[in-house]
Amino acid sequence: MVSLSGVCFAQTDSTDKVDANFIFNYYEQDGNHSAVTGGRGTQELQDIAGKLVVKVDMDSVNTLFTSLSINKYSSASTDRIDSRLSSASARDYHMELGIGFEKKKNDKLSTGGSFYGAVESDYVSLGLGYSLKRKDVKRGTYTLKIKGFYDSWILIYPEEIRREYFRMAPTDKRYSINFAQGYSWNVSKKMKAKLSLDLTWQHGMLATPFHRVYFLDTVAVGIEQLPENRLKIPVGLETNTYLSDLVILKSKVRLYADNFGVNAFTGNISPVLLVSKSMSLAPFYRYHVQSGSKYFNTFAKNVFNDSYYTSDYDLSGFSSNSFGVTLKYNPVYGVLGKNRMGWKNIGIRYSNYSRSDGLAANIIGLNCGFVW
Amino acid sequence: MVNIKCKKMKKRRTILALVVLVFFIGCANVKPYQRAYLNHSEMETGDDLLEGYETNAQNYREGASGGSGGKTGGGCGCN
Repeated sequence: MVSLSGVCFAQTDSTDKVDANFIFNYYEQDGNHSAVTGGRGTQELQDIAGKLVVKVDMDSVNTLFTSLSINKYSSASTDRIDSRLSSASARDYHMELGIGFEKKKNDKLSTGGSFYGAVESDYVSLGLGYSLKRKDVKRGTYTLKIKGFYDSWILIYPEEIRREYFRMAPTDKRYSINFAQGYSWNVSKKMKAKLSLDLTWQHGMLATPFHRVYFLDTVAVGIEQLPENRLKIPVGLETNTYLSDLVILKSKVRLYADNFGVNAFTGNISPVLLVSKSMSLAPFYRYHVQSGSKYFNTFAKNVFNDSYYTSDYDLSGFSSNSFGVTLKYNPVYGVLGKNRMGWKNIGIRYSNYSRSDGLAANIIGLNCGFVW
Repeated sequence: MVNIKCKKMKKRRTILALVVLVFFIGCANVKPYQRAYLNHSEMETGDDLLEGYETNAQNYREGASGGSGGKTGGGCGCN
């Protein structure tokens, strides 16, 4: 269900050629508004994810990076696409591969490209990306990332309507293009800021074919119907501030709007406690509130003759709270001392997520960083 | 009709407030020998590797995505 895409970089010494990170995550959730059963029913799900991210400095100007991730998830709700329950919750795998490069043109300018592929039981995704980074010592750093995706679905409908429904999905393809711009600068000797402005446009299959919809004015069962075009515009501001020699305060604010009628505000705050030169402890809190999509209705409240409708609570109006803590250990001579095995750092993160409609989740993450 | 106009005005005012806030934060030319604090690994902006999975999970479970990393469109079987 959930996996990472994209690649991140860890800081390395100038003599290090290979930088590798092994990341493991466990996710579990439960709620009572499954979209597969029309907005009512279990949302129990577990996901185990493993990811390897590798960055290789080929020389002083060329960098190669790659990432591979595999998720195994089980979902009680997707097991109800058919009316006959198989046995335990439905299981599925998700695999992703990303390959890319970055080239320094000069001291100020770097460009890069990437290729991406993902596969799951009901879709295949291919993507291409282009990146640009322009650094100005005085003014700041501007980054631009353009990604295009082509997704192809295997349309799986709820069992009871596979042969008799008149409004099947209009297409099994989805095209997406994303422009992500960022500008980061030094506000003072102890403060950094970054402004992010994204633009995402999607066309094609934006509904999920096995999400059931029940109606106010008929006993017929339908499937989710959403427009074939979606434009998303998020704007974010991030600041990191050295409050004292022991505390760095991180904060983020994001505003979001799209043409589905979802408008959102998100705020994060995290005081990072510098316990020692090699260890940090960071509790965090996140608040999110959004208005529901104009196409959303609760169970059995949709109107049959409407053009678009959904009972997916991810598109409803709600607020959510997340809190947790991150612990990082990054000693100068490695986790095992004397740079043994190249094991440079380790980090652990726990997060609890709860939504006002009753969905709750727990996430545990572990990252081990190596340099050779 | 009046309500829609009010909502649009509120959206514009919020975006304008964000832009003004950015300008008020300011900008400084910090010399390399003055960047001891700025160069700390915890001062880097953007999601680190531990946060990436969680950011994607939030994007899947919420109608909003982007502006802070994670999947913003395509590459997944999600809205």
